[in-house]
Amino acid sequence: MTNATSRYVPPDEKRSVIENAILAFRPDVAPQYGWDPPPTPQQALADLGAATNIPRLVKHRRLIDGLRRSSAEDRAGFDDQARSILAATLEQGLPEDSHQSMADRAKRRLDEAAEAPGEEWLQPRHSQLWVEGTNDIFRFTTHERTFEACNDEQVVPKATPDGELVQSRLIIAQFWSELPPAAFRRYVDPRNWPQCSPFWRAMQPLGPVVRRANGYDGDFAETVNIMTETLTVPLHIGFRVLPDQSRVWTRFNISRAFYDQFPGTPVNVDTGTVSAESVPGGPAPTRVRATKYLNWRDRGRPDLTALACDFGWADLMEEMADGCAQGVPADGGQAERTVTGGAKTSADAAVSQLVEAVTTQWQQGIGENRPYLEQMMGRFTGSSWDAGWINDLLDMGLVTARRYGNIASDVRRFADSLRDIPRERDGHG
Amino acid sequence: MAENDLVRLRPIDVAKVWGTALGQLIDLWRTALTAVMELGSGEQPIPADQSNRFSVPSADGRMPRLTARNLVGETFNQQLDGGAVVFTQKGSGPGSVTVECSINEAFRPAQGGAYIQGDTYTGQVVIEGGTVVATVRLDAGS
Repeated sequence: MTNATSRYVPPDEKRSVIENAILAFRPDVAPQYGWDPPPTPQQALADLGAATNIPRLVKHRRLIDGLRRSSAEDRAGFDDQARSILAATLEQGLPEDSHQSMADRAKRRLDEAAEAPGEEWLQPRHSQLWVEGTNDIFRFTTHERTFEACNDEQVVPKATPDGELVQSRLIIAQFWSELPPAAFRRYVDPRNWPQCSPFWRAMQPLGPVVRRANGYDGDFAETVNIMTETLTVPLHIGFRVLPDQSRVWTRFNISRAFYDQFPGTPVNVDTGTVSAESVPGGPAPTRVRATKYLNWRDRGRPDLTALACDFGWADLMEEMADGCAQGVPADGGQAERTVTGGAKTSADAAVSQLVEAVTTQWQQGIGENRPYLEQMMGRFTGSSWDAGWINDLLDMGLVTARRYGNIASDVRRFADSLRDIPRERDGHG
Repeated sequence: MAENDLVRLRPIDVAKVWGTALGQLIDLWRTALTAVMELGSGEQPIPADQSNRFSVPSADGRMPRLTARNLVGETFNQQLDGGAVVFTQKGSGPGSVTVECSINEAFRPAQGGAYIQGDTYTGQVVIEGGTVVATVRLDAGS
Protein backbone atom coordinates (compact mmCIF):
# COMPACT_ATOMS: atom_id res chain seq x y z
CA MET A 1 0.00 0.00 0.00
CA THR A 2 1.21 3.50 -0.84
CA ASN A 3 1.08 5.75 2.17
CA ALA A 4 1.06 9.52 2.48
CA THR A 5 0.97 11.61 5.60
CA SER A 6 -2.07 13.84 6.06
CA ARG A 7 -1.08 17.44 5.54
CA TYR A 8 -1.99 20.84 4.18
CA VAL A 9 -0.77 21.23 0.59
CA PRO A 10 0.12 24.65 -0.83
CA PRO A 11 -1.89 25.86 -3.89
CA ASP A 12 0.46 24.72 -6.68
CA GLU A 13 0.91 21.33 -5.12
CA LYS A 14 -2.80 21.12 -4.49
CA ARG A 15 -3.43 21.62 -8.20
CA SER A 16 -0.91 18.88 -8.99
CA VAL A 17 -2.56 16.50 -6.54
CA ILE A 18 -5.94 17.04 -8.20
CA GLU A 19 -4.47 16.81 -11.70
CA ASN A 20 -2.60 13.62 -10.81
CA ALA A 21 -5.81 12.10 -9.51
CA ILE A 22 -7.32 12.77 -12.93
CA LEU A 23 -4.34 11.89 -15.12
CA ALA A 24 -3.53 8.65 -13.30
CA PHE A 25 -6.75 7.23 -14.75
CA ARG A 26 -6.38 8.89 -18.15
CA PRO A 27 -3.01 7.77 -19.44
CA ASP A 28 -3.96 8.93 -22.94
CA VAL A 29 -4.12 12.57 -21.85
CA ALA A 30 -0.92 12.89 -19.82
CA PRO A 31 1.64 12.52 -22.68
CA GLN A 32 -0.07 15.29 -24.68
CA TYR A 33 1.01 17.75 -22.02
CA GLY A 34 4.46 16.43 -21.26
CA TRP A 35 3.14 14.70 -18.15
CA ASP A 36 4.88 11.44 -18.87
CA PRO A 37 4.90 8.96 -17.31
CA PRO A 38 1.57 9.56 -15.58
CA PRO A 39 1.47 8.97 -11.83
CA THR A 40 0.33 5.58 -10.60
CA PRO A 41 -3.28 5.50 -9.47
CA GLN A 42 -2.20 4.19 -6.06
CA GLN A 43 0.12 7.13 -5.44
CA ALA A 44 -2.33 9.67 -6.88
CA LEU A 45 -5.15 8.43 -4.64
CA ALA A 46 -2.89 8.30 -1.61
CA ASP A 47 -1.85 11.93 -2.16
CA LEU A 48 -5.43 12.97 -2.75
CA GLY A 49 -6.56 11.34 0.47
CA ALA A 50 -3.71 12.88 2.45
CA ALA A 51 -4.34 16.49 1.40
CA THR A 52 -6.32 17.96 4.27
CA ASN A 53 -7.30 21.11 2.34
CA ILE A 54 -8.91 19.39 -0.62
CA PRO A 55 -12.69 19.30 -0.13
CA ARG A 56 -14.40 15.99 0.51
CA LEU A 57 -16.56 16.60 -2.54
CA VAL A 58 -13.45 16.68 -4.78
CA LYS A 59 -12.06 13.54 -3.21
CA HIS A 60 -15.25 11.54 -3.65
CA ARG A 61 -15.80 12.74 -7.20
CA ARG A 62 -12.23 11.97 -8.25
CA LEU A 63 -12.40 8.57 -6.60
CA ILE A 64 -15.63 7.53 -8.33
CA ASP A 65 -14.46 8.89 -11.68
CA GLY A 66 -11.10 7.13 -11.40
CA LEU A 67 -12.63 3.81 -10.43
CA ARG A 68 -15.19 3.98 -13.23
CA ARG A 69 -12.35 4.43 -15.72
CA SER A 70 -10.55 1.35 -14.36
CA SER A 71 -11.15 -2.32 -15.06
CA ALA A 72 -12.63 -4.46 -12.29
CA GLU A 73 -9.26 -6.12 -11.89
CA ASP A 74 -7.42 -2.82 -11.53
CA ARG A 75 -10.03 -1.49 -9.11
CA ALA A 76 -9.22 -4.25 -6.65
CA GLY A 77 -5.67 -2.90 -6.54
CA PHE A 78 -6.88 0.49 -5.31
CA ASP A 79 -8.99 -0.84 -2.45
CA ASP A 80 -6.65 0.31 0.31
CA GLN A 81 -6.40 3.88 -1.01
CA ALA A 82 -10.15 4.07 -1.60
CA ARG A 83 -10.90 2.86 1.95
CA SER A 84 -8.42 5.34 3.31
CA ILE A 85 -10.06 8.28 1.50
CA LEU A 86 -13.53 7.20 2.60
CA ALA A 87 -12.48 6.70 6.21
CA ALA A 88 -10.74 10.09 6.31
CA THR A 89 -13.81 11.88 5.00
CA LEU A 90 -16.20 10.42 7.57
CA GLU A 91 -17.46 12.52 10.44
CA GLN A 92 -14.74 12.93 13.04
CA GLY A 93 -15.14 11.69 16.60
CA LEU A 94 -17.05 8.49 15.83
CA PRO A 95 -16.36 5.42 18.00
CA GLU A 96 -13.73 3.14 16.44
CA ASP A 97 -16.07 0.21 15.67
CA SER A 98 -18.72 2.50 14.26
CA HIS A 99 -16.10 4.27 12.14
CA GLN A 100 -14.90 0.99 10.66
CA SER A 101 -18.39 -0.27 9.97
CA MET A 102 -19.38 2.98 8.20
CA ALA A 103 -16.20 2.95 6.13
CA ASP A 104 -16.97 -0.62 5.04
CA ARG A 105 -20.50 0.34 4.06
CA ALA A 106 -19.22 3.36 2.16
CA LYS A 107 -16.76 1.15 0.28
CA ARG A 108 -19.57 -1.17 -0.82
CA ARG A 109 -21.57 1.80 -2.08
CA LEU A 110 -18.44 3.07 -3.85
CA ASP A 111 -18.06 -0.22 -5.66
CA GLU A 112 -21.69 -0.01 -6.76
CA ALA A 113 -21.20 3.52 -8.09
CA ALA A 114 -18.04 2.43 -9.90
CA GLU A 115 -19.83 -0.47 -11.58
CA ALA A 116 -23.15 1.26 -12.29
CA PRO A 117 -24.27 1.34 -15.92
CA GLY A 118 -23.42 4.35 -18.04
CA GLU A 119 -20.39 5.97 -19.56
CA GLU A 120 -16.99 5.07 -18.18
CA TRP A 121 -16.66 8.44 -16.51
CA LEU A 122 -18.55 10.05 -13.64
CA GLN A 123 -21.98 11.28 -14.69
CA PRO A 124 -24.68 13.06 -12.66
CA ARG A 125 -26.63 9.84 -12.18
CA HIS A 126 -23.58 8.18 -10.61
CA SER A 127 -23.18 11.12 -8.23
CA GLN A 128 -26.84 10.80 -7.38
CA LEU A 129 -26.47 7.07 -6.73
CA TRP A 130 -23.48 7.75 -4.49
CA VAL A 131 -25.18 10.53 -2.53
CA GLU A 132 -28.41 8.61 -2.05
CA GLY A 133 -26.56 5.48 -0.98
CA THR A 134 -24.22 7.12 1.50
CA ASN A 135 -26.06 10.16 2.82
CA ASP A 136 -26.70 8.41 6.14
CA ILE A 137 -22.97 7.68 6.38
CA PHE A 138 -21.49 11.02 5.41
CA ARG A 139 -24.40 13.36 6.22
CA PHE A 140 -23.72 15.40 3.13
CA THR A 141 -24.36 19.12 3.12
CA THR A 142 -26.90 20.53 0.68
CA HIS A 143 -24.20 21.67 -1.73
CA GLU A 144 -22.56 18.23 -1.71
CA ARG A 145 -25.91 16.50 -2.28
CA THR A 146 -26.93 18.74 -5.16
CA PHE A 147 -23.60 19.29 -6.89
CA GLU A 148 -23.84 18.71 -10.64
CA ALA A 149 -20.71 18.96 -12.71
CA CYS A 150 -19.91 19.01 -15.33
CA ASN A 151 -22.01 18.90 -18.48
CA ASP A 152 -20.07 19.85 -21.61
CA GLU A 153 -21.91 17.84 -24.23
CA GLN A 154 -23.73 20.69 -25.94
CA VAL A 155 -22.16 22.89 -28.61
CA VAL A 156 -23.74 26.15 -29.73
CA PRO A 157 -22.74 28.80 -32.26
CA LYS A 158 -21.05 31.88 -30.83
CA ALA A 159 -19.38 34.80 -32.56
CA THR A 160 -15.62 35.29 -32.29
CA PRO A 161 -14.17 38.81 -32.00
CA ASP A 162 -13.69 38.62 -35.80
CA GLY A 163 -17.40 38.06 -36.26
CA GLU A 164 -17.08 34.45 -37.35
CA LEU A 165 -19.67 32.03 -35.94
CA VAL A 166 -17.99 28.97 -34.44
CA GLN A 167 -19.38 25.97 -32.62
CA SER A 168 -18.52 26.50 -28.96
CA ARG A 169 -18.57 24.05 -26.11
CA LEU A 170 -21.14 24.89 -23.42
CA ILE A 171 -19.97 23.93 -19.93
CA ILE A 172 -22.44 23.95 -17.05
CA ALA A 173 -21.92 23.26 -13.35
CA GLN A 174 -24.27 24.06 -10.49
CA PHE A 175 -25.29 23.30 -6.92
CA TRP A 176 -27.82 24.50 -4.38
CA SER A 177 -27.10 26.02 -1.02
CA GLU A 178 -28.81 26.94 2.22
CA LEU A 179 -26.65 30.09 2.31
CA PRO A 180 -28.13 33.24 0.79
CA PRO A 181 -26.69 34.57 -2.51
CA ALA A 182 -24.74 37.29 -0.69
CA ALA A 183 -22.61 34.62 0.99
CA PHE A 184 -21.16 33.76 -2.43
CA ARG A 185 -20.25 37.30 -3.30
CA ARG A 186 -16.58 36.63 -2.65
CA TYR A 187 -16.54 33.67 -5.00
CA VAL A 188 -18.65 35.22 -7.72
CA ASP A 189 -16.33 38.23 -7.90
CA PRO A 190 -13.68 37.12 -10.45
CA ARG A 191 -10.96 39.14 -8.76
CA ASN A 192 -11.03 36.48 -6.01
CA TRP A 193 -10.86 33.43 -8.26
CA PRO A 194 -7.08 33.06 -7.91
CA GLN A 195 -7.54 32.79 -4.15
CA CYS A 196 -10.42 30.36 -4.55
CA SER A 197 -8.95 27.83 -6.95
CA PRO A 198 -5.38 26.68 -7.48
CA PHE A 199 -6.09 26.54 -11.23
CA TRP A 200 -6.43 30.34 -11.40
CA ARG A 201 -3.13 32.17 -11.42
CA ALA A 202 -4.16 35.82 -11.82
CA MET A 203 -6.87 38.29 -12.74
CA GLN A 204 -4.82 41.29 -13.79
CA PRO A 205 -6.70 44.57 -14.51
CA LEU A 206 -5.99 45.86 -18.03
CA GLY A 207 -7.48 49.29 -17.41
CA PRO A 208 -9.52 51.19 -14.88
CA VAL A 209 -12.18 49.27 -13.02
CA VAL A 210 -15.38 51.32 -13.33
CA ARG A 211 -17.41 51.30 -10.15
CA ARG A 212 -21.18 51.16 -10.51
CA ALA A 213 -23.96 51.45 -7.97
CA ASN A 214 -24.50 47.69 -8.14
CA GLY A 215 -21.00 46.39 -8.95
CA TYR A 216 -18.20 47.16 -11.37
CA ASP A 217 -17.08 46.79 -14.99
CA GLY A 218 -13.54 46.18 -16.14
CA ASP A 219 -11.14 44.43 -18.48
CA PHE A 220 -8.88 41.78 -16.98
CA ALA A 221 -6.22 39.36 -18.18
CA GLU A 222 -7.26 36.00 -16.77
CA THR A 223 -4.39 33.56 -16.36
CA VAL A 224 -5.14 29.91 -15.73
CA ASN A 225 -2.74 27.03 -15.18
CA ILE A 226 -3.75 23.58 -16.32
CA MET A 227 -1.11 20.86 -16.15
CA THR A 228 1.90 22.23 -18.05
CA GLU A 229 -0.12 24.90 -19.87
CA THR A 230 -0.53 28.56 -18.93
CA LEU A 231 -3.45 30.25 -20.65
CA THR A 232 -4.07 33.99 -20.62
CA VAL A 233 -7.32 35.45 -21.98
CA PRO A 234 -8.40 39.12 -21.94
CA LEU A 235 -11.90 39.30 -20.51
CA HIS A 236 -14.45 42.07 -20.20
CA ILE A 237 -16.19 41.57 -16.88
CA GLY A 238 -19.36 42.96 -15.34
CA PHE A 239 -19.91 42.11 -11.66
CA ARG A 240 -23.36 42.87 -10.23
CA VAL A 241 -25.32 42.59 -6.99
CA LEU A 242 -29.06 43.25 -6.92
CA PRO A 243 -30.10 45.82 -4.29
CA ASP A 244 -32.06 43.21 -2.34
CA GLN A 245 -29.07 40.84 -2.61
CA SER A 246 -31.26 38.16 -4.11
CA ARG A 247 -28.75 37.75 -6.94
CA VAL A 248 -25.01 38.15 -7.29
CA TRP A 249 -23.48 37.49 -10.67
CA THR A 250 -20.60 38.01 -13.04
CA ARG A 251 -20.82 38.20 -16.80
CA PHE A 252 -17.61 37.69 -18.69
CA ASN A 253 -16.89 38.01 -22.41
CA ILE A 254 -13.71 38.09 -24.40
CA SER A 255 -12.51 41.68 -24.27
CA ARG A 256 -12.70 42.97 -27.83
CA ALA A 257 -10.78 46.05 -26.74
CA PHE A 258 -7.75 43.99 -25.73
CA TYR A 259 -8.08 40.81 -27.76
CA ASP A 260 -5.61 41.91 -30.45
CA GLN A 261 -3.03 42.71 -27.80
CA PHE A 262 -3.00 39.04 -26.74
CA PRO A 263 -2.06 37.21 -29.96
CA GLY A 264 -1.26 34.05 -28.01
CA THR A 265 -4.78 33.71 -26.66
CA PRO A 266 -5.69 30.11 -27.48
CA VAL A 267 -9.48 30.65 -27.42
CA ASN A 268 -11.66 32.94 -29.49
CA VAL A 269 -14.86 32.38 -27.55
CA ASP A 270 -14.82 32.63 -23.77
CA THR A 271 -18.10 33.92 -22.43
CA GLY A 272 -20.49 33.03 -19.65
CA THR A 273 -21.96 33.73 -16.27
CA VAL A 274 -21.25 32.78 -12.68
CA SER A 275 -24.19 33.49 -10.40
CA ALA A 276 -25.73 32.86 -7.02
CA GLU A 277 -29.43 33.66 -6.89
CA SER A 278 -32.56 33.04 -4.85
CA VAL A 279 -34.68 30.57 -6.75
CA PRO A 280 -37.93 29.58 -5.01
CA GLY A 281 -39.03 26.01 -5.36
CA GLY A 282 -35.59 24.37 -5.54
CA PRO A 283 -34.02 21.92 -3.10
CA ALA A 284 -32.52 24.91 -1.24
CA PRO A 285 -33.08 28.67 -1.37
CA THR A 286 -30.02 29.55 -3.46
CA ARG A 287 -28.85 28.18 -6.77
CA VAL A 288 -25.20 28.66 -7.66
CA ARG A 289 -24.51 28.14 -11.31
CA ALA A 290 -21.63 28.62 -13.70
CA THR A 291 -21.95 28.50 -17.46
CA LYS A 292 -19.13 28.98 -19.89
CA TYR A 293 -18.89 28.85 -23.69
CA LEU A 294 -15.46 28.07 -25.08
CA ASN A 295 -13.95 27.59 -28.50
CA TRP A 296 -10.34 26.56 -28.95
CA ARG A 297 -8.70 28.37 -31.87
CA ASP A 298 -5.09 27.22 -31.50
CA ARG A 299 -4.97 24.13 -33.70
CA GLY A 300 -1.28 23.70 -32.93
CA ARG A 301 -2.01 22.72 -29.34
CA PRO A 302 -4.30 20.06 -27.88
CA ASP A 303 -7.83 21.34 -27.32
CA LEU A 304 -7.97 22.05 -23.61
CA THR A 305 -11.64 23.02 -23.73
CA ALA A 306 -12.40 19.30 -23.91
CA LEU A 307 -10.84 18.99 -20.46
CA ALA A 308 -12.24 22.20 -18.96
CA CYS A 309 -14.92 20.31 -17.08
CA ASP A 310 -12.36 18.20 -15.24
CA PHE A 311 -9.59 20.73 -14.95
CA GLY A 312 -10.57 24.03 -13.45
CA TRP A 313 -14.20 24.83 -14.07
CA ALA A 314 -15.76 22.16 -11.87
CA ASP A 315 -12.93 22.61 -9.41
CA LEU A 316 -13.68 26.29 -9.05
CA MET A 317 -17.27 25.39 -8.22
CA GLU A 318 -16.18 22.71 -5.75
CA GLU A 319 -13.77 25.05 -4.03
CA MET A 320 -16.35 27.77 -3.93
CA ALA A 321 -18.95 25.45 -2.49
CA ASP A 322 -16.65 24.36 0.26
CA GLY A 323 -14.07 26.99 0.84
CA CYS A 324 -14.33 30.22 -0.99
CA ALA A 325 -17.75 31.02 0.36
CA GLN A 326 -16.78 30.42 3.95
CA GLY A 327 -13.12 29.60 4.16
CA VAL A 328 -11.42 32.92 4.78
CA PRO A 329 -12.13 34.25 8.26
CA ALA A 330 -12.24 37.95 7.32
CA ASP A 331 -14.65 37.43 4.46
CA GLY A 332 -16.50 34.72 6.31
CA GLY A 333 -17.37 37.29 8.93
CA GLN A 334 -18.32 39.71 6.24
CA ALA A 335 -20.55 37.14 4.64
CA GLU A 336 -22.17 36.46 8.00
CA ARG A 337 -22.86 40.13 8.56
CA THR A 338 -24.27 40.47 5.08
CA VAL A 339 -26.48 37.50 5.64
CA THR A 340 -27.84 38.62 8.99
CA GLY A 341 -28.37 42.13 7.79
CA GLY A 342 -29.48 40.80 4.43
CA ALA A 343 -32.66 39.26 5.80
CA LYS A 344 -33.86 42.58 7.14
CA THR A 345 -32.69 44.39 4.04
CA SER A 346 -34.44 41.86 1.84
CA ALA A 347 -37.84 42.53 3.42
CA ASP A 348 -37.42 46.29 3.12
CA ALA A 349 -36.12 46.04 -0.40
CA ALA A 350 -38.92 43.68 -1.41
CA VAL A 351 -41.56 46.15 -0.14
CA SER A 352 -39.85 49.04 -1.94
CA GLN A 353 -39.63 47.03 -5.14
CA LEU A 354 -43.31 46.11 -4.98
CA VAL A 355 -44.38 49.72 -4.36
CA GLU A 356 -42.20 50.93 -7.19
CA ALA A 357 -43.44 48.23 -9.56
CA VAL A 358 -47.12 48.87 -8.80
CA THR A 359 -46.68 52.65 -9.13
CA THR A 360 -44.91 52.18 -12.44
CA GLN A 361 -47.70 49.96 -13.75
CA TRP A 362 -50.33 52.55 -12.80
CA GLN A 363 -48.38 55.42 -14.31
CA GLN A 364 -47.71 53.54 -17.52
CA GLY A 365 -51.32 52.33 -17.60
CA ILE A 366 -52.63 55.89 -17.39
CA GLY A 367 -50.28 56.93 -20.18
CA GLU A 368 -51.32 53.99 -22.32
CA ASN A 369 -55.03 54.74 -21.79
CA ARG A 370 -54.72 58.40 -22.67
CA PRO A 371 -55.17 58.11 -26.47
CA TYR A 372 -58.24 55.91 -26.02
CA LEU A 373 -59.71 58.37 -23.54
CA GLU A 374 -59.10 61.32 -25.85
CA GLN A 375 -60.65 59.43 -28.75
CA MET A 376 -63.64 58.50 -26.65
CA MET A 377 -64.25 62.07 -25.49
CA GLY A 378 -64.09 63.21 -29.11
CA ARG A 379 -66.96 60.93 -29.96
CA PHE A 380 -69.31 62.89 -27.76
CA THR A 381 -68.52 66.35 -29.11
CA GLY A 382 -69.94 66.01 -32.62
CA SER A 383 -73.46 66.60 -33.79
CA SER A 384 -74.25 63.05 -32.78
CA TRP A 385 -72.68 60.49 -30.48
CA ASP A 386 -70.43 58.01 -32.16
CA ALA A 387 -71.14 54.49 -30.89
CA GLY A 388 -67.41 53.71 -31.16
CA TRP A 389 -67.05 54.85 -27.56
CA ILE A 390 -67.91 51.27 -26.65
CA ASN A 391 -64.74 50.06 -28.39
CA ASP A 392 -62.63 52.75 -26.75
CA LEU A 393 -63.95 51.76 -23.36
CA LEU A 394 -63.14 48.13 -24.02
CA ASP A 395 -59.63 49.05 -25.22
CA MET A 396 -59.07 50.83 -21.92
CA GLY A 397 -60.41 47.81 -20.10
CA LEU A 398 -57.89 45.64 -21.93
CA VAL A 399 -55.00 47.92 -20.98
CA THR A 400 -56.15 47.89 -17.37
CA ALA A 401 -56.46 44.10 -17.32
CA ARG A 402 -52.95 43.72 -18.75
CA ARG A 403 -51.51 46.12 -16.22
CA TYR A 404 -53.22 44.30 -13.36
CA GLY A 405 -51.78 41.09 -14.74
CA ASN A 406 -48.33 42.62 -14.45
CA ILE A 407 -49.12 43.80 -10.93
CA ALA A 408 -50.21 40.25 -10.10
CA SER A 409 -46.75 39.04 -11.23
CA ASP A 410 -45.11 41.65 -9.01
CA VAL A 411 -47.23 40.59 -6.03
CA ARG A 412 -46.25 36.98 -6.59
CA ARG A 413 -42.57 37.87 -6.73
CA PHE A 414 -43.04 39.85 -3.55
CA ALA A 415 -44.64 36.85 -1.84
CA ASP A 416 -41.75 34.65 -2.97
CA SER A 417 -39.25 37.10 -1.50
CA LEU A 418 -41.03 37.14 1.83
CA ARG A 419 -41.26 33.37 1.87
CA ASP A 420 -37.51 33.01 1.45
CA ILE A 421 -36.54 35.46 4.19
CA PRO A 422 -37.46 33.20 7.14
CA ARG A 423 -35.45 30.37 5.52
CA GLU A 424 -32.43 32.65 5.26
CA ARG A 425 -32.83 33.57 8.92
CA ASP A 426 -33.26 29.94 9.97
CA GLY A 427 -30.13 29.01 8.12
CA HIS A 428 -28.13 31.45 10.20
CA GLY A 429 -29.69 31.28 13.62
CA MET B 1 -78.11 63.76 -26.53
CA ALA B 2 -81.37 64.48 -28.23
CA GLU B 3 -83.56 61.58 -29.37
CA ASN B 4 -83.32 62.59 -33.00
CA ASP B 5 -79.49 62.21 -32.76
CA LEU B 6 -79.80 58.56 -31.92
CA VAL B 7 -81.84 58.00 -35.03
CA ARG B 8 -78.88 59.12 -37.15
CA LEU B 9 -76.92 55.95 -36.15
CA ARG B 10 -76.96 53.66 -39.14
CA PRO B 11 -77.41 49.93 -38.52
CA ILE B 12 -74.09 49.26 -40.30
CA ASP B 13 -72.26 51.50 -37.79
CA VAL B 14 -73.87 49.73 -34.88
CA ALA B 15 -73.00 46.34 -36.34
CA LYS B 16 -69.38 47.42 -36.86
CA VAL B 17 -69.09 48.68 -33.29
CA TRP B 18 -70.55 45.57 -31.73
CA GLY B 19 -68.62 43.28 -34.04
CA THR B 20 -65.39 44.88 -32.87
CA ALA B 21 -66.65 44.89 -29.30
CA LEU B 22 -67.18 41.14 -29.42
CA GLY B 23 -63.52 40.57 -30.32
CA GLN B 24 -62.48 43.02 -27.64
CA LEU B 25 -64.60 41.28 -25.03
CA ILE B 26 -62.91 37.98 -25.85
CA ASP B 27 -59.48 39.62 -25.57
CA LEU B 28 -60.49 41.23 -22.30
CA TRP B 29 -61.75 37.95 -20.91
CA ARG B 30 -58.54 36.14 -21.89
CA THR B 31 -56.33 38.87 -20.48
CA ALA B 32 -58.25 39.01 -17.21
CA LEU B 33 -58.07 35.25 -16.94
CA THR B 34 -54.31 35.32 -17.59
CA ALA B 35 -53.93 37.99 -14.91
CA VAL B 36 -55.77 35.89 -12.34
CA MET B 37 -53.78 32.80 -13.30
CA GLU B 38 -50.58 34.78 -13.03
CA LEU B 39 -51.39 35.61 -9.42
CA GLY B 40 -52.11 32.04 -8.49
CA SER B 41 -49.69 30.16 -10.68
CA GLY B 42 -46.61 30.16 -8.45
CA GLU B 43 -44.62 29.46 -11.58
CA GLN B 44 -40.92 28.77 -11.37
CA PRO B 45 -38.54 31.60 -12.10
CA ILE B 46 -37.32 31.50 -15.65
CA PRO B 47 -33.89 29.96 -15.95
CA ALA B 48 -31.39 31.91 -17.98
CA ASP B 49 -30.34 29.45 -20.64
CA GLN B 50 -29.35 29.24 -24.26
CA SER B 51 -33.00 28.55 -25.04
CA ASN B 52 -36.34 28.82 -23.23
CA ARG B 53 -39.52 26.79 -23.70
CA PHE B 54 -43.09 27.87 -23.07
CA SER B 55 -46.64 27.02 -24.13
CA VAL B 56 -49.02 29.29 -25.99
CA PRO B 57 -52.59 28.86 -27.21
CA SER B 58 -52.43 27.46 -30.70
CA ALA B 59 -53.87 29.07 -33.80
CA ASP B 60 -55.57 26.26 -35.70
CA GLY B 61 -53.12 23.78 -34.23
CA ARG B 62 -50.15 25.85 -35.31
CA MET B 63 -47.80 28.21 -33.54
CA PRO B 64 -49.26 31.73 -33.54
CA ARG B 65 -47.19 34.62 -34.87
CA LEU B 66 -44.86 35.52 -31.99
CA THR B 67 -42.72 38.59 -31.45
CA ALA B 68 -40.15 39.36 -28.78
CA ARG B 69 -39.97 42.85 -27.35
CA ASN B 70 -38.23 44.90 -24.66
CA LEU B 71 -35.13 42.69 -24.69
CA VAL B 72 -32.53 44.18 -22.37
CA GLY B 73 -29.25 42.71 -21.12
CA GLU B 74 -29.28 42.14 -17.37
CA THR B 75 -25.64 43.09 -16.85
CA PHE B 76 -24.73 45.72 -19.41
CA ASN B 77 -28.28 47.03 -20.10
CA GLN B 78 -27.86 46.86 -23.88
CA GLN B 79 -31.14 46.67 -25.77
CA LEU B 80 -31.53 43.95 -28.36
CA ASP B 81 -33.92 44.00 -31.28
CA GLY B 82 -36.72 41.48 -30.86
CA GLY B 83 -35.99 40.30 -34.39
CA ALA B 84 -32.96 38.48 -33.00
CA VAL B 85 -35.21 35.91 -31.32
CA VAL B 86 -35.99 32.73 -33.20
CA PHE B 87 -39.14 30.74 -32.34
CA THR B 88 -39.51 27.07 -33.14
CA GLN B 89 -42.53 24.89 -32.49
CA LYS B 90 -41.45 21.86 -30.47
CA GLY B 91 -44.72 20.15 -29.77
CA SER B 92 -48.45 20.55 -29.51
CA GLY B 93 -51.27 19.59 -27.20
CA PRO B 94 -54.99 20.22 -27.04
CA GLY B 95 -55.37 23.94 -27.74
CA SER B 96 -51.72 24.82 -27.18
CA VAL B 97 -48.27 24.49 -28.70
CA THR B 98 -44.86 24.24 -27.05
CA VAL B 99 -42.44 26.79 -28.39
CA GLU B 100 -38.68 26.96 -28.00
CA CYS B 101 -36.96 30.28 -28.46
CA SER B 102 -33.33 31.29 -28.66
CA ILE B 103 -31.31 34.18 -30.00
CA ASN B 104 -29.84 33.98 -33.47
CA GLU B 105 -26.14 34.56 -32.81
CA ALA B 106 -25.68 35.63 -36.41
CA PHE B 107 -28.00 38.59 -35.83
CA ARG B 108 -26.26 41.94 -36.18
CA PRO B 109 -27.79 44.77 -34.17
CA ALA B 110 -28.65 47.86 -36.19
CA GLN B 111 -27.55 50.03 -33.30
CA GLY B 112 -25.01 49.59 -30.57
CA GLY B 113 -22.30 47.76 -32.47
CA ALA B 114 -21.60 45.01 -34.93
CA TYR B 115 -22.10 42.13 -32.52
CA ILE B 116 -24.41 41.01 -29.73
CA GLN B 117 -22.81 41.83 -26.43
CA GLY B 118 -22.57 38.75 -24.25
CA ASP B 119 -25.28 38.93 -21.60
CA THR B 120 -28.52 37.42 -20.36
CA TYR B 121 -31.33 39.16 -22.21
CA THR B 122 -34.75 39.43 -20.57
CA GLY B 123 -37.89 40.40 -22.46
CA GLN B 124 -41.47 39.50 -23.32
CA VAL B 125 -43.00 37.42 -26.04
CA VAL B 126 -46.27 38.74 -27.46
CA ILE B 127 -48.83 37.46 -29.89
CA GLU B 128 -50.66 39.59 -32.43
CA GLY B 129 -52.63 42.22 -30.56
CA GLY B 130 -49.81 42.69 -28.08
CA THR B 131 -50.86 40.17 -25.43
CA VAL B 132 -47.84 38.98 -23.45
CA VAL B 133 -47.68 35.19 -23.51
CA ALA B 134 -44.26 34.60 -21.95
CA THR B 135 -41.28 36.24 -20.37
CA VAL B 136 -37.92 34.97 -21.59
CA ARG B 137 -34.37 35.04 -20.23
CA LEU B 138 -31.86 34.09 -22.87
CA ASP B 139 -28.12 33.85 -22.84
CA ALA B 140 -26.68 35.39 -25.99
CA GLY B 141 -23.67 37.08 -27.46
CA SER B 142 -20.02 36.68 -26.72
